[in-house]
Amino acid sequence: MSPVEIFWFFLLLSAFQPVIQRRLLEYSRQRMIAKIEHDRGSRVILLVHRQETMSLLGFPLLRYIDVNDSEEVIRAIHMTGKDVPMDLILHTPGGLVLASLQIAEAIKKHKGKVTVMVPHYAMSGGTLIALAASEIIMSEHAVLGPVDPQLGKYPAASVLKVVSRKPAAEIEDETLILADQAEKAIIQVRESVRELLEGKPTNGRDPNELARLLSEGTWTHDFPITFERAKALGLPVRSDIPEDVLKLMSLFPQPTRMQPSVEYLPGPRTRRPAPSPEARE
Amino acid sequence: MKSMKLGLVWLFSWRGLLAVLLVIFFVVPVIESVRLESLRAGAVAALEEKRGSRVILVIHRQESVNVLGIPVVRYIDIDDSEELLRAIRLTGKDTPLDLILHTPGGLVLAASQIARAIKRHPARTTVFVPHYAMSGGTLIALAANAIVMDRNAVLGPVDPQLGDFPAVSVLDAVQRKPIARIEDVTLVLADQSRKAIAQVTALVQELLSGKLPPERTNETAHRLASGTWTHDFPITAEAAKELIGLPVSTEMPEEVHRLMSLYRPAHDMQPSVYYLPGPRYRKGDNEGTGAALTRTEQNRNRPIK
Repeated sequence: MSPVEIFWFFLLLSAFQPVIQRRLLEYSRQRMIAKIEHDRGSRVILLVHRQETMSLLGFPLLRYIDVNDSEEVIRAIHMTGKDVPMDLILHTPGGLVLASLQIAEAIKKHKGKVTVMVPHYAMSGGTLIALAASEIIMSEHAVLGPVDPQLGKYPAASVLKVVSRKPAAEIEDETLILADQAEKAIIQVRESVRELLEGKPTNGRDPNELARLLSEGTWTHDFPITFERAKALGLPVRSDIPEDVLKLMSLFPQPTRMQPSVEYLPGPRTRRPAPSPEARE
Repeated sequence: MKSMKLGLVWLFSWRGLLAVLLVIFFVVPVIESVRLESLRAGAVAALEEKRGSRVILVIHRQESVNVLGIPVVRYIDIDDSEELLRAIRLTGKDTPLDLILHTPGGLVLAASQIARAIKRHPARTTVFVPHYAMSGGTLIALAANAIVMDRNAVLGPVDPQLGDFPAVSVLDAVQRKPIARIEDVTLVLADQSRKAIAQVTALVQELLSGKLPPERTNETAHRLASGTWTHDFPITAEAAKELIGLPVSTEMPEEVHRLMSLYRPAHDMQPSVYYLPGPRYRKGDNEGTGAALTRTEQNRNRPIK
């Protein structure tokens, strides 16, 4: 082999390296999903939204639950037998009400048991989907969020508050236009939540009250509903998330070319047993 | 043996490597797209064959990004209506028409052109909604003889939107404020809103005429076009049947689903929904959660140590 050939060989190798890496990652994801499906006897669907950095100009691209997602999830549900249990793993900041509701309704209609697993967070639309499940398994530190509708930049509940505090003549036209939308949006989401909770155990809490709390802007939209709070609210939550699900999530890393902002040596750390006095000598 | 060795030497030479790269980066994608195109054509032909009809697809996906990374929004526009009317013109008078809709809606003008053309078609017309057909899409669906929705598919209200604002909300705002305090722009919009709502209501009545009893037609048109709900309110198949009285069935042919899966969005990004392909059904009767699942690939079932 001449030096030129060796040069070409390396060029080719480095051109293929990302492809090979992606294939390997893909393969380990599939193996992990297959293992969870086998252990739990269920269909596993992941809905993972990571904030991606666009390659060309470096614009951050926000990912959220959109119609393509709801279509894909429903396609997966469609290919699942009526009685086969489903495990939906959610990691999402939320998204379109329309898309989230479509997924939620499809889950609610599924005959087999549906478990929503939240390894880290499922806000807004993600929580709406979780409400439709028979059971929500959160990791100890995972959070859900309120489902009050947002109109563009503003939470619907806040728009209504403005309108109720000011005489109509003094309110800007745009705010009044928004207020009409806000009112309808809140009622629609509240009714949908109520329907989703229908027939679910709520731990003695009134489902109507729960629907109202979650959809009428009791909290800001980014308020974390922790495991304890979710339990207190009467949601069917558990905290024993399978270890494999957490492992699976680590196979969906943040796609980024920047310096990672969190670093640590991988591998578990457990406290070493304190050395006995004899050993110290 | 010798020729093989010569071939290997060629492969690792300048030209050989260039040829390999050329094949991988240019020829393979072309072959892929040609293959997909022929699969799509085959699926459409199969559906036409089965139903003895002309099949037309209107699919608007939010194509992820253009060159600058800005999401491109697709909706029903004049190009679409032109193309669709051309397809209808190429269809014989007694050939049934099957329209598969997957769209967030679009221009009222374009949608109404399509809707009227469908209404006018003498043979039977069916609109299939595998996932969603909001706003303008719903308007088109109203024109058909029959609407077939998937169990989880939705339609939407058809109340007109003026720029960013729903017409009905503009009217509502104008009513709540003394007229002297309202901005001129809003009053201009209000005038437009009133006309737009009246026109769309009339259009819906026209499209539904002959399908529902007259008093029901008026009620339905009013409900759909005057902003009873927000514009993104999902109208499920049951709601469409019961509340609105539309001729909806949920017997979606499997072929339509198969066809839609050939029109998936192109993924340049990491997909956000992830699952192992292939169906999951229980073998025999239920034996609790541990029951075996049938698989296309058995070896996936092996536990992994």
